[in-house]
Amino acid sequence: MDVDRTVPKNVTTPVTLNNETGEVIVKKASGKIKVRTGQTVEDYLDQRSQFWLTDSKECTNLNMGWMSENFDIDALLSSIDTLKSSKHERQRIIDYLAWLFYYNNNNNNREFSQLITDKIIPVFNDINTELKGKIKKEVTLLERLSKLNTDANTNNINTKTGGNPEAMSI
Amino acid sequence: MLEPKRLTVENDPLHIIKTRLQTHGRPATISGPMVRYSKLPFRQLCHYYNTDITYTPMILAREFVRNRNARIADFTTNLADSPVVAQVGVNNTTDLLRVIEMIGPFVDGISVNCGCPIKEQVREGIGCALIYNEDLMVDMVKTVKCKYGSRLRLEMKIRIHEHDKPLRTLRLCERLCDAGVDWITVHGRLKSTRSSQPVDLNAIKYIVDGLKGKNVPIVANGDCFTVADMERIQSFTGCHGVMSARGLLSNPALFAGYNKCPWGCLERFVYYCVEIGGLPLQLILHHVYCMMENMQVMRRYLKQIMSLSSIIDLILWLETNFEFSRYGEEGFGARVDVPYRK
Ligand SMILES: Cc1cc2nc3c(=O)[nH]c(=O)nc-3n(C[C@H](O)[C@H](O)[C@H](O)COP(=O)(O)O)c2cc1C
Repeated sequence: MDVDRTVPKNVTTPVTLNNETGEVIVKKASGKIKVRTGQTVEDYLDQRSQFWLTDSKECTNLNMGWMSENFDIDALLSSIDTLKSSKHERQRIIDYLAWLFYYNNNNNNREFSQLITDKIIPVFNDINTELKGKIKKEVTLLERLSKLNTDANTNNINTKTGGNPEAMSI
Repeated sequence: MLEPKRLTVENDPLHIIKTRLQTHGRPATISGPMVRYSKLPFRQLCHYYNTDITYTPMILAREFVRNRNARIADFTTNLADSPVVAQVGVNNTTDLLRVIEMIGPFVDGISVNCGCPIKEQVREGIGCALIYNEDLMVDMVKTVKCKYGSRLRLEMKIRIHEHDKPLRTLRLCERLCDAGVDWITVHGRLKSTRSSQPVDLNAIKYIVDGLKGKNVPIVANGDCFTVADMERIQSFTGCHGVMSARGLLSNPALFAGYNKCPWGCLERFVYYCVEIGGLPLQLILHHVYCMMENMQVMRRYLKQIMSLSSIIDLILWLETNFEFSRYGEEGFGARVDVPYRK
């Protein structure tokens, strides 16, 4: 039996112009035809070796316990330029704090707070000044986290809307 | 030069899909690709609760092969994350070959998204557009299989062209089988069907029956929310595997037989998020929201979740309002019912 092979109007048939680079023609919303430029073989090979040799070491080894073995907070805090330009890198610091916090229930709260106040906040404050206040929220979060005291169970839980710890425990 | 990851009976998704009915008396259990959501901590959680195979969210091949930031944001994995299938969104064979070469050494299979109905992708010839460009799909499969043979597993995840007896879809599947595809996942909905409409199991059965002579297993996708659904879908369609997406999002323990998300699953999710890192806060909170909504946690608690301002606040909030155990603490991961604090 023959099959109806109609392509619906709003569906694009991409047409490859160059097999070596992957350059294709596609349709824009307006109906206009648009060329999606290809990628040279050289660029592809560069990207591939960057991924294989460097990036994949990090993104494919996130096994349980990796932070206790491989996380170098001092190295991260000293790469100011990277922290300045990458929210992702700054987030790694918050992730690390969450990890410390998770395992330090009722212990080492002092150390946890000191790490934040002595080492992390100064770096974030500098970056915040350079970025003209753009990461103020992150600094505020750090300041609050440094004051957490889980021992006494007087949790300073914060929400973006309320922020009143009393209101949070129902 | 790196080769695709070595396939064994432990991690070869095709072997698992083909054998689960005999070895476990049930179809292979599979968690579907979900943009934003099916990231590493979630996949690891699904694996823990009896999901045989997980999928990454769709990774746009064009971005992945050109842009380091896209790679870092899109792809993470670890030893426990296996078997995992990397799903790609792609509109040409060159980008597909490149993304496979790059990511193949770190995953157990590759899926091509031929089902995403989102306009921006369809306009680029990605996702659902592909099921109307049959020749391109066939070329993709032929080219990849010609290069890798059985060293790399390639799946096509499709929607159906029409309801009930979708002949066009069957013909497409036959051509994909002849081109060497390893398995096909059929989401039993049309390009235009909303997920609130029930999945068309007749159409999936029609395809399974039509491909009987091909020795290529079919995975059925759509509306699997419980183990009973999984069994019903399998026995009705005759499929080899069942994929769930929304069901697992709200209850990652679904395939372990829980009809409602158990409390321990939430504790384990927080543990994985903390250990692995890298998930944006809003995403973590959304997962927690979906699980707690599934547990039917009281609304006044649900309302507070999305406004928590860090993962540390989330942990404290959980500990304040519920009996929440961290990893290593008594009862961790074991409770089923919601343990409200009095
Ligand atoms: C939030 C969300 C994100 C999704 N992202 C993808 C995707 O990246 N690739 C894909 O092939 N399907 C995607 N899907 C579709 C699912 O994989 C699945 O085919 C669909 O939801 C039907 O299964 P279900 O009824 O079990 O949810 C997504 C679905 C949801 C709900």
